[in-house]
Amino acid sequence: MNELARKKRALEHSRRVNAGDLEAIIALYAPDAVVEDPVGLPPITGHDALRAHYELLLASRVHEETTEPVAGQDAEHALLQVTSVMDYLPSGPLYAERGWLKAPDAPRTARIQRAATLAIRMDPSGLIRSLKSYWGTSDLTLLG
Amino acid sequence: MPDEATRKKMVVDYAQRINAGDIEGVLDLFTDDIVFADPVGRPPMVGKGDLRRHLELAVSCGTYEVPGQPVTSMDDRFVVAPSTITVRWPRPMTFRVVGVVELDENGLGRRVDAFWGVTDVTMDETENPGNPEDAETAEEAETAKDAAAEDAAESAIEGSAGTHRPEGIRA
Repeated sequence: MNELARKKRALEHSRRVNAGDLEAIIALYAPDAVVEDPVGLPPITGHDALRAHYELLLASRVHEETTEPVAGQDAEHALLQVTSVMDYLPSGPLYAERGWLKAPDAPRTARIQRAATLAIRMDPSGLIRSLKSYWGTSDLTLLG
Repeated sequence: MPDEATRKKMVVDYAQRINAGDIEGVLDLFTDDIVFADPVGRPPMVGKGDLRRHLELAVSCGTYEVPGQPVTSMDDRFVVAPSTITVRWPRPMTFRVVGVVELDENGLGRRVDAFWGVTDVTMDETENPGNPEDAETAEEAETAKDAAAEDAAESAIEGSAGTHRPEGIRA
């Protein structure tokens, strides 16, 4: 895939997340795709595990804002900065348990903002082979 | 291990030092066996000797780097930062880059993957706008021009640097 096609694919990932369309998100991935979200946790492999991962994300009513992607000159990569805003529930308590953020006083109404950069590697047909989502504790902000 | 704030500071230090032309200061941020791919997709530079030549070229081209908001990872190893890089020679150009930097336990960079494509390069001279596919937004081009103009006004560096080309540019 050329650079522009890869950038378009990377943006399409966020578009499908924002549309809340789980199966459409999974359809972007190769069957043996590997996702690290965040980088540093054990990788998630295969459609079933990815479905569980994105189901949880969509349950938090996530919305992603993106910037213009950049490409690699390796015929494989597109990188995308993503700022996500999501409900504290259901994932937030796990974040708090890990010490990534402080548990809010009002968990039902609290939201999380997260800055991340996605490094997405695609096969020649445009299916995602690997996605690395870089974000750390300091990239999380509790909103209200 | 370098904490997240330390990792984020590293990319800011990198930009400040290269903008100041402080090549040895930049090299101090990396391990002796640094592997530096710029751009990803070309054979990487390996070791400080290779990297020094790359940095000398970058400085001679009037490189000015403005880092964006960095992010990190949960394994104490990475900092990832977007940046907008302008060069003045051989002609004004703007590069949109995302750098993935892996640090060692002492906070030194051991690997850099600088991602930028030919579609992330903008030619900034109006008389030769280049390939339309290369153009990003008009706003970005204007910002880069302003930055380059300010930079040029501050700088007394003129001379033979115009014959150099940054490595990896195919546009």
